[in-house]
Amino acid sequence: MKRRILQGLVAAAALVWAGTGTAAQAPDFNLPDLEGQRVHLKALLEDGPVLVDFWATWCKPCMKAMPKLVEIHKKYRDRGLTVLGVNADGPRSQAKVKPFVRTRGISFPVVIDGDGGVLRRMQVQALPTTVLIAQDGEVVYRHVGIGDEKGLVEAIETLLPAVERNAESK
Amino acid sequence: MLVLSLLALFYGRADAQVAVSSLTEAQRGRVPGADSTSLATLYEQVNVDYTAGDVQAGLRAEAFRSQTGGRGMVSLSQKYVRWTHGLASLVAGNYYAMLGRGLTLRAFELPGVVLESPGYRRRYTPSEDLEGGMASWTGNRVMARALIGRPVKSDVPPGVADVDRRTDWVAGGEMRFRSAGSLTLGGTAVNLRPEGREASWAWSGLAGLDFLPILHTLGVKDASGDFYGEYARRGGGAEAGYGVYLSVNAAVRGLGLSVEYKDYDDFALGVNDPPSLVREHSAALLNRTTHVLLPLNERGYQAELTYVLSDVGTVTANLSRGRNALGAGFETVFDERYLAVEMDRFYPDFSGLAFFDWGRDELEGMLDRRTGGVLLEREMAGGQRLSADFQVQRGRRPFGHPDAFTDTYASVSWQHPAGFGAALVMERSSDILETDDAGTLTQIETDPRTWWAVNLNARLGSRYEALLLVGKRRGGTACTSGTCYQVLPYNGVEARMTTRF
Repeated sequence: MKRRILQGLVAAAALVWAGTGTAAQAPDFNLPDLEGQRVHLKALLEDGPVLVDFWATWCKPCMKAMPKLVEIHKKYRDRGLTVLGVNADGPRSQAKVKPFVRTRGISFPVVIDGDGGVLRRMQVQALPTTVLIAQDGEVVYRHVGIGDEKGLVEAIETLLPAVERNAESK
Repeated sequence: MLVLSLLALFYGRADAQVAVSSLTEAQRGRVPGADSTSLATLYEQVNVDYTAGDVQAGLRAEAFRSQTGGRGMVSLSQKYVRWTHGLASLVAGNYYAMLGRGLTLRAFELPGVVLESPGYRRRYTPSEDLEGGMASWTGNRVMARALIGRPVKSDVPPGVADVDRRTDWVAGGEMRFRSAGSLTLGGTAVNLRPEGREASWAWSGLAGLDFLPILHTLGVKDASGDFYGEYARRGGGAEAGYGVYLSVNAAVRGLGLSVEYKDYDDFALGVNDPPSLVREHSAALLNRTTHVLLPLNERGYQAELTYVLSDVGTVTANLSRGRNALGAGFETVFDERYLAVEMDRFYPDFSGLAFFDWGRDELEGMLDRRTGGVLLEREMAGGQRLSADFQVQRGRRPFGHPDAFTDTYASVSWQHPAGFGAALVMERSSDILETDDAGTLTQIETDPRTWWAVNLNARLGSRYEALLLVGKRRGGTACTSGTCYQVLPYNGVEARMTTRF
């Protein structure tokens, strides 16, 4: 067993050597929205950066963060930012997600990560987790909990001028 | 592994990326009733994920060390390779999946949870994954998935000598068709092959309908709703059973309603996790008394009504009921009524929540339980937050003298936007299940017990987070992400560090 662990660590070291940097690349995912339509992260990134918010209906801090995310969605959507809510409610409370979203006027798209596979692949350990992904798929900002609205807006503003310059050059 | 290493070295792509995260928990303390002196333990988990184009590969290693010999372990607990291209996806190794709403199969993990096995006294991550392979096609109109794998006995930590955690096999799949009018029809099937027992199978048919297009056609604006139903049966071998789950929800402007029904009979498959129709509470005293679903036999419903007044607050009312017929005419009942009023902002910078809950859970020996609480938060200059949480629960059990008890929970916390904070937490209980010392056989202790703890947290950028607990933690049931598990009591110091790079 210990030999296999050592082999795994050697493989990991080789992978680090093969990788070009330490910045994390967001894995692509494809999840259903509240109407059952499939949403692909890769397709959203074609239009601009994506701000992914992992949340659940039973998570009180997630509720506190929602109004600010709706505000960010309204302010930056015309500049190319997509806000995407990834819901982590399991079968216990999944039935409450749609009425929750509609009654609170959450206007950005929300997708359902029913089996938690995307949470695992994005290494989400607690809710809420907010991840800002640049158009090339690189994770440029990550925050667990609430209270860093200023840092988030700064990260978004840093990304968006680059998006606008690319759009102008096209 | 050697082949993987060589491939990575010689064919590493310019766009390849590696993400590494680690979780470390160090303890110096004891589990009351089990340890006579303080012990030092260390748990470490490392996740490495490699992404290059359409391919992602990764592994998880766990290690546990204890001052007490014989409890340590080192384990490569997960490894996987995933290929995703457009709508198609293949994964080999350890993976998670849910068929339908979990009536026939659900493989999942509770994010960030580390448990200590009461029997083996080892800390580990209780992942309920499958080890095998899965192929999926996830289009807008058609979704299909086929899987095969070995589920894990998640109550046994990894690395236990002479214990194979994966002895059973399961194979199955799901297909769904979604029409242009938002009608979804589909089905799931699983074949279960437990070691030493006869193979059996289970299947389900499911249907879903989104009311939005119908409402729009009728000219009804600002309203939405949907229906979902799943009927499952189990057969083969000596076992038979069924499961029914129905849900309807609707929202009209700020008013939301969700109604669900369940009927499970002999439907504990070992790999499934049907909806429990029990509210998930964030309040500490309600969270620890959450009813745990018994899919062997449980029938009931849940209805939740919410009213949101924008920029003012929310009112939530929930009614849940369940009945377990356990054979020979023996039945137990679970009941819960919950009401909460949440104010987004009142009196310059305050926000708050007040709730009341009445319940009984005869299966858990709770005849009558009333819980109330208030949570107040204040946002101060510079984005600092101060909060105070106070909850009281009065309950009655069908045994013990006295049979009535009072539990109290109080906490005061402060959080700075720079990424650090502190909380002082107190719990007190006169519940005979807590006050009685199991070690004194001829005596029943009734003096209330109190637990005090200080929690500190700190975050450095987006890569490092640390949590420190100093004091006493009360054991019992804890629920997160829709699943409940047992937490051991603890007295001492516990430090947790999460690193991501």
